[in-house]
Amino acid sequence: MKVQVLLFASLRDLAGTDRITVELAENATVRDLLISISSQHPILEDRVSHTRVAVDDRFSVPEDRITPESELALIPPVSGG
Amino acid sequence: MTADPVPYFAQLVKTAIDISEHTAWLASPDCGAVLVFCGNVRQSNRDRIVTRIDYQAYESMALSQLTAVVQSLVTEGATRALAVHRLGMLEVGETSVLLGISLPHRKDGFQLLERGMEQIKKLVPIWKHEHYRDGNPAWVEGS
Repeated sequence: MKVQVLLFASLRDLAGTDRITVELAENATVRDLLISISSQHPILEDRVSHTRVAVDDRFSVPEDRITPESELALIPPVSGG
Repeated sequence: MTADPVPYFAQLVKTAIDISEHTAWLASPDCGAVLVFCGNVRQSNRDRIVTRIDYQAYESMALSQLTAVVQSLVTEGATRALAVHRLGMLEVGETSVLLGISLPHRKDGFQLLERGMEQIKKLVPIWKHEHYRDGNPAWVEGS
């Protein structure tokens, strides 16, 4: 399946876009997503280990399953306040 | 008789935060303590002169996370709790975030307010893009 992943802040600048497309196997997990982002979008590879993944507006854990309908986002360390 | 209002409130705004209005919302006849924290844009950071900060967010998640923070403050003892975060370009001195709680007594309020701010700074997907007097703007990212 193909999924879109939203990018923010420095990741958006780095990739030059506000979203990327990632090809995943069916029943992929968040862990699989991060591995696939590193291989399919190597410009983000060094940042992935410092980045959380949000699935449908919630922080995920690596075991969470991804569906084609999931809204996915890479969340670099936040700095609001 | 009217139903009690929801005792917590979170909002993302793109214009100046009205501190008086929000402080008034927190007031309640049962509460002897109203505590409000305002975070303002500071003119220096890491030895650089800051001129402005552009706050950007993953808005849908930021609002749900901000709501979860104030809801948790009510669960932990606040009678009312609210958080307002401003987005967009802010000048030095402008208020970027307001977090307020009210409760019967002040005793536990300060720690509760601090805990709420720590949660905001850790869990709400908002980022600062700092502009400096010298050099290019830079993203500030937490740890």
